[in-house]
Amino acid sequence: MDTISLPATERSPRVDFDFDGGRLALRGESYPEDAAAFYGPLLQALKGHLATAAADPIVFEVGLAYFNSSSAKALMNLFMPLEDAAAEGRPVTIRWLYADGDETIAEAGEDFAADFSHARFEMVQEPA
Amino acid sequence: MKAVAQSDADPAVDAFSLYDAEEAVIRQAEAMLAGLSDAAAGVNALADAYRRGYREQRRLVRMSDRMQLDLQRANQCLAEQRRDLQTLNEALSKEIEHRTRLEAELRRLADTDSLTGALARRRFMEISAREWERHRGGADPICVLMLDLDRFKLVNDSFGHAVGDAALVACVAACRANLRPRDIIGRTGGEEFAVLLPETGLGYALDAAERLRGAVASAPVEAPGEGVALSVSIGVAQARRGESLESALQRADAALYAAKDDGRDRVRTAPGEVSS
Repeated sequence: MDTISLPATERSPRVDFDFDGGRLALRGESYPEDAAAFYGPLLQALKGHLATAAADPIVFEVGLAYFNSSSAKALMNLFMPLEDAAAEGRPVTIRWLYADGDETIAEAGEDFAADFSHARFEMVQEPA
Repeated sequence: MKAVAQSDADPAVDAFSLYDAEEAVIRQAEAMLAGLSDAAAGVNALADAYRRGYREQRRLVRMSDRMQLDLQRANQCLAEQRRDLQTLNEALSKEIEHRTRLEAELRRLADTDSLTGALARRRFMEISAREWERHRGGADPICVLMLDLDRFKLVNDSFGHAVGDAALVACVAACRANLRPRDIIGRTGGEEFAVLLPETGLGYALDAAERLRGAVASAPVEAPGEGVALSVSIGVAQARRGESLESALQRADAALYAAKDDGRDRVRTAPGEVSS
C-alpha cells in the first residue's frame, strides 16, 4: 500500500499517509466511534511499510485540535513502531502541530515527546 | 533404615540398592516438577493480573471517551452559540450605528432650515439662550438683529416661489459672508431672520447690520429674463443689563418695524437705544 488518503469527518481526522514519499499526516479532530476500526488499518499499513521498505526518512505530522483517550492510545500505537524504527537507524521525525494558545494540545505533545529517544519530536506552533 | 512396607518394596533394595543414582534422578525430577508448577502458577497469576489491569484500562478509556464525547459536544454547542451571539452582536452594532446616524441626520434636519442652511428657529433660540446665559451679568455687550426681506410677498407673486426661495438663499448667503464665525443666524419666520452677535457693542452691531443690508441689496438673484432687486430691513438692539433674550429680540423687532415704516432697505436701532 503506497498511500492512504481519507477525508476528515466530524469525528475523525484527514489522513494522508504517503509511504513512498515518507510523509504521513493526520489533521483535524479525532474521537471516532470505533477508534480501533479507524486506526487499525493505519497501524497495520505503517508496520507493513516499516517491515519491508529501506531505511528512508519518515516524517509524521500530527495536527489534531482535539482527540479522545482511545485516539491517544492509537497514537501511541503508531508512535511505538516509529520509535523502534528510529532506534534501528531510520531517520524519523514527528511534527506535533498545535494552535497558538492551545495549551491542552501543546502539553499533550510534550507528554508524547517523553516516549521518544531516537526519533526527533518537533513541537510546531501554528497561528490560532 | 527405610521403613518401607515389605509388600511394596523390592527385597533386593531393602538394605542396599544398585539404583540409588536412578532413584535420585527421579526424586530430583519430581522436585523440579513441583518447582515448575510453582513457576507456572506464578506466571498464571501474573497473566491474570495483567489481564485484569488491561481490562480495567480498557474500561477507563471507554468511560473517558464517552465523557470526552459529551464534553466535545457541549463545547461545539457553546462555540456555535458564541458564533450566533457574535453575529447577533455585529447586527446590533450595525443597527445602533445606523440609528445613531439616522438620529444625527434627523437632528441636523430639525436644527437646520433645509432651504437656507440657517438654524431653525428652535435651535437658534437654544444656542442664543446658552450664549445669553454666558454673558448675563458680565461686562461683555451682546446685540441682536432682526432682518426681514422687503416686499417678499411681491417677489413671490411676481416671479414665483422658486425665485422667492432663491432670494431667501441669497439673503442668508450674503449675511453669512459678512458675519463672524461665532455669530449666529436663524430663520425665525417665512422671510424673517434673527442674528445674535456675541461680545459685540451697538456700534459694531450697527456697522455689521449696514454691511448685511448692503450685501443683500447687491446679492444676485436671477429671475427668467431679469434680475431681482432684493433689499432687507434690519432692527438692532443691544442687551440691557438683566434683560432677557426674548425682550431684546422684541425690541429689535420693534426697530425692524420702524425701519419698514421709514421706507425699508435700512437699519434702525430699538427705541431709546444709545449708540456706544
